[in-house]
Amino acid sequence: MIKTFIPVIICFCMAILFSIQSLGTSQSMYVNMYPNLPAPIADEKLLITSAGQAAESSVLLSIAENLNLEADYRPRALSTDLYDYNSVVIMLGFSINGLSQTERSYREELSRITALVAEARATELPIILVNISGKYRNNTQTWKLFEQIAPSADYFIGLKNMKKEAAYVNLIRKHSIPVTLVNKLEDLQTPFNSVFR
Amino acid sequence: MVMVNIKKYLIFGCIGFLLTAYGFLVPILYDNWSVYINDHIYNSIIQKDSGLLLITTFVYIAKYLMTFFFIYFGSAILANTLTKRINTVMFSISLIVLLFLTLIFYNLLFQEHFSYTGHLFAAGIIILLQLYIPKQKHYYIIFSIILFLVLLAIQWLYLIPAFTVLGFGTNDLAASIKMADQFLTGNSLLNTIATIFFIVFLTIAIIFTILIHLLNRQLDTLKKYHLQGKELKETRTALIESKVYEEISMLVHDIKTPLVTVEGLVSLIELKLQTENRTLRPYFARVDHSLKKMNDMISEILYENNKQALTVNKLIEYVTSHLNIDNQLIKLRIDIDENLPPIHVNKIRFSRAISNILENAISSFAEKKGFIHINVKKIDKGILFCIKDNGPGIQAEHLKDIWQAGFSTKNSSGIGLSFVKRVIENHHGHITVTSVPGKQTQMNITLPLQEAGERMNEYHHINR
Repeated sequence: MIKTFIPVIICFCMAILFSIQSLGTSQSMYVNMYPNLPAPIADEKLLITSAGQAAESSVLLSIAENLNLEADYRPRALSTDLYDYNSVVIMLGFSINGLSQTERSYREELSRITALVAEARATELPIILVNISGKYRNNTQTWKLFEQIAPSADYFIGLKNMKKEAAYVNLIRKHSIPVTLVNKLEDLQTPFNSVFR
Repeated sequence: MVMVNIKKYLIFGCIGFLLTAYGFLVPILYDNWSVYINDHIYNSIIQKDSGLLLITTFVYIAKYLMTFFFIYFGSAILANTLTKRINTVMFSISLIVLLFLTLIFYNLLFQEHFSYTGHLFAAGIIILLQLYIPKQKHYYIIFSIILFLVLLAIQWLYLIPAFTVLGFGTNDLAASIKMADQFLTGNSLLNTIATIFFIVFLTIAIIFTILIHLLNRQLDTLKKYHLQGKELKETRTALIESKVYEEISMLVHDIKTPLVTVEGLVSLIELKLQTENRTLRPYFARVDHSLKKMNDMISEILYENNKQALTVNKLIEYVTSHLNIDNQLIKLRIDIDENLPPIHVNKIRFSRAISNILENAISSFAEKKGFIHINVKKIDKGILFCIKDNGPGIQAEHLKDIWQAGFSTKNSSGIGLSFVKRVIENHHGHITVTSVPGKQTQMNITLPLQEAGERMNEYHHINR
């Protein structure tokens, strides 16, 4: 009789193991970080773009509107579009569904971001990197985009309890970039405002 | 048989494969659903409209429910094809293996980054619940309903932000929806709505399985009771029947003793009166002949295999002479083919069988007008007795039961037609009945020709 329940027990045990593993990777580690920037590092008008085309990137536009910042949300912006802006905000998060709407491949998206970052560096535009999907998007594509942008970023804002938090923070530290990790999305407003005011 | 089974499982396997393949095609065929979900997540954030986000979650649920329903259902059919039997541990293990191979391939192909925690949980629940589904004709219908409900519950579980930390709902669109909800309502909307829907659908799935399980157990018990009742009735009828026959046999046997006495006394009287009155001799001869005939009749009643060659005309004449239809409005027509060969029968028993059929027909008229047609003719390898009446007929549902001892719709003993069948079969013949309720009934008795009948009889005796 118990024999018939063995597959069920296997499934539930594996689900519990996976959950414990998932729980372990999302625990927030101790990070020496800024609650917000002590002085502004960027000027308006800012360009908000997406690295990975995740749909939630528009959250940042909504926050910018709340803060009365002069901002444009152009998720597919190219390096040639930067002439009109004084700072660049990049929202990190790879979404296959979002990317399929742009009819671009992941490689093309990575090239776009690389070119955009290079252009921003060349024109000395400050780059603010934001990652709010750390708890959900634990994929290699997002990590590769992060690796591409992080060395050139001037400030990193993220949410606590993200997956691979140690790896993210270590890379940021390596390039001596100021970091702010917030508990909730609504807490994002303060560090984001400190970038410009 | 083996070939039929192989063909059956081959078709089954193809269906399973096609269903799984269709599950893979859903994201491609319904790509505009993904576009709709993405656009509406964006709009709900910009417009700060949580209602719009809620509508988007329903579309999300519909899309992934459809995708995974086909994948899970197809995998179950494929597992059944591989293991042949559903109620085995191997079936469950095959289902898990096939399911996760399919899901890994799906994740690699579509890069939606589904975590396997939710699917392991879903597979566990589905396998657990399917253990309680009766493994009968409608197994897959019940399984599909339970699968639908469990997957629906699991899709809502993926949208509970509080469980994200445990690895539930880390796929692309679920992540976007949960982040949009976090921004709009601080996750209070989805934590509430998705939890409620998850609990409700999972509870329905569990209750549905329990109900099906209990209903099946109840049906099983009822079937057992019905079977036991039937067996009891059959035993009781057989007991009554055997007692009736036993008593008749004893009675008939007991008649033999006074008959022998009568026979002896008649011989004695004949001897004594032989010299005095010669005119009485023919009377004594007739009495003696009648006694011998009576003796033969008793032997035929007592011994089934006591058979004699008889013309059909004599048999029918014998039967009709004992039939009481003079005071009734019944018209009897008899057609017997000329030059029919003699039949080899136990006259008393076979006549009784024919009489039983005729008496049933007469009683069915209930003293109203009626018509009975007896037609006897030669067919291929035997003689066909066709007895047709225009009575009320027999209901279709009763046709299969009329030969059973004890079955009656008129509160009679119910042994008449079972006796008929037994007698016909003892003569190596067979009987069939056709009836149009409200119109007519026709009984066809086929007897083998004398030679064949005799041979079969000899065979029957040798093998006894």
